[in-house]
Amino acid sequence: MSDASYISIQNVSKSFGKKVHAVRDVSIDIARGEFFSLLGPSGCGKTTLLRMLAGLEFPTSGEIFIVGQPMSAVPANRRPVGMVFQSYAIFPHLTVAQNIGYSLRRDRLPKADFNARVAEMLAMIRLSGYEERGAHQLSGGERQRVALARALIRRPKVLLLDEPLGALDKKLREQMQLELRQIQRSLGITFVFVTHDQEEALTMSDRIAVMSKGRYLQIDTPTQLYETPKSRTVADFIGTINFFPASVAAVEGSRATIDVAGLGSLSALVRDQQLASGSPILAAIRPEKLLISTEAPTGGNAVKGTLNDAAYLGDRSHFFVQLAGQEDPVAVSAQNLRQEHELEIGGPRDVWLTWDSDAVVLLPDDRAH
Amino acid sequence: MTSLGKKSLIHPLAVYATLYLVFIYVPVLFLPLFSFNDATFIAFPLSGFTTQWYVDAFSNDRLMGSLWNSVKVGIPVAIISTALGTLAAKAVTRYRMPGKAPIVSFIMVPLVVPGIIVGIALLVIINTMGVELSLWTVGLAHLAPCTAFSMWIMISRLEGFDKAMEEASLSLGESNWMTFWRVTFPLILPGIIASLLLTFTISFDEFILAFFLAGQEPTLPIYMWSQLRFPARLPPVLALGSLILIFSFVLVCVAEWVRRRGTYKGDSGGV
Repeated sequence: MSDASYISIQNVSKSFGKKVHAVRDVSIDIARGEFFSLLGPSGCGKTTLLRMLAGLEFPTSGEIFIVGQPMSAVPANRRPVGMVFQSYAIFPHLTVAQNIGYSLRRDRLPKADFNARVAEMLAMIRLSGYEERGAHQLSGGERQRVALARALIRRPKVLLLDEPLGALDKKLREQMQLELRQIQRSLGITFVFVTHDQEEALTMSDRIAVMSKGRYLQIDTPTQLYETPKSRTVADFIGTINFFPASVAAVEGSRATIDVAGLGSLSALVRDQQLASGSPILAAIRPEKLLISTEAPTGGNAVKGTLNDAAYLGDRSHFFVQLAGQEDPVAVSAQNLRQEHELEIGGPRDVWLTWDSDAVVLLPDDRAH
Repeated sequence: MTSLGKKSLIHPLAVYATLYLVFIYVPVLFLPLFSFNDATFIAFPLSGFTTQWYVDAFSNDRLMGSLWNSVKVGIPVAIISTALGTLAAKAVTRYRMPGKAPIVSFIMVPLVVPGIIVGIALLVIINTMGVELSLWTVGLAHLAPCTAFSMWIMISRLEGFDKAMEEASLSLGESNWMTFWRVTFPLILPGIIASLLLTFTISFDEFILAFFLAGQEPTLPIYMWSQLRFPARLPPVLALGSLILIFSFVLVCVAEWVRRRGTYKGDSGGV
């Protein structure tokens, strides 16, 4: 075992009955101390995979290694992992202190040591003094923290989190994201985090596996996933993106010239992919990589369109620009750097879009499949 | 225009509900009424107040003996059927297994099969096996409906709480066995208490199976029935019956109160 494969999932599949294939032949290595997220829509197999790491489900085939040990014969209670459940699963018949110290029973600590360990965890989650409260006296955020402290008190090698922030409101969720990240860094424990919220995954993770239909589509850092997605599905799932059906005109080294209907010839960066002249391809560009202007630019990549619609979001605005020869309007996002806006919407008007040619991502055109 | 638009002061359904309760409870209330009546025959008009029948009841060794027999059967039946029902309910609600639905149905069948049929069937088998009829055979027969009833209570209790609680305990390093005692048992305890009280009541009240299988040791319902032939011996039976009526009523109310109180408020795992 190396630090890079602290957790090693090797060719793991899981079926329920004959028809439901929750996880299909997944192999992932997770490094020591990594914050790793499994991201995907509900039913993509991410929770099943997490439960197999916890020992609450067992693979139909394949093997999971945690710290070099094969786990197929190891029951949940003998694994070096902790888990935070979506529902938190706080024991309602126990106090906060009894909940957090639940796993210390086997250590037979003197009362004073037990209290000290619990108090230490309560301090970490900033709930000092909550020892004697009952589960029903806690708010959602407090339950979440108690569940976290309970899972961490014995310092497991790996912490598994199943959509732990899903039930919290937005403000609290953002605060907990930072806290979780901070706790993870200070303890150095490997986190495997399941979520369907791409923003949450981007904010917190070192690496993300984007999952769909029991498989993963791409494993990368948040930046790589966002800036250089490898498929249309990943590009679409993470953030917003504009797609343009195109065809490859010519390839010269690391640059390709592509023809886009309505936009003409564009230059784009080739990122370790094989492109053949004349083959169909998708050109994709993120809304914030497009600059919108009422004046015609000089030189570079530029196209004229009609501004049809705009949405003011406070920190930024969204514009929807119709290009000739394109079916869907192009989404453009702009930071509201000044208080006055030159682009108040008052009926359709002509605008120009410009972009840096490195901002265009070329994707295989898998739309027909 | 007719008076249809006018709102009736008494809702028809309220009338129905009242009649229903009267029909159910007024006959039963005659029992305590006559138990204080100073006459051997059960008939109106009432002739006077007495507590003599209560004194007679407690000094009647055969009556007290049959009461004790019923308790001797009821308590072990309640404990064993609740243990079996709880384990069966846990298996049904927590594990994937083939043929689960038919198994549950078969366990539930004794609740609806007429007791007289089960009674005759058991009598035939027990006689064939050469086993002597006793309180043991009564208790054994009572286990079938009581276990089914207990399982029914415990299934709803187990389905009512978040399975993640048990999984959390496992992931915190506890074995299945310790998880049961530290998490599952305390959470289903109200259901277990309700089950103990109700299965005891079922066994205690049961007549037909006991009638076939009691042999020389009558349970209380059997003894009461046997005394109906002798009018002079009936009033003490009424006295004891009244006490049992109140006792059963309290027991069922306590069981229901415990069962409801045990559902945790404001908790994601609650019912």
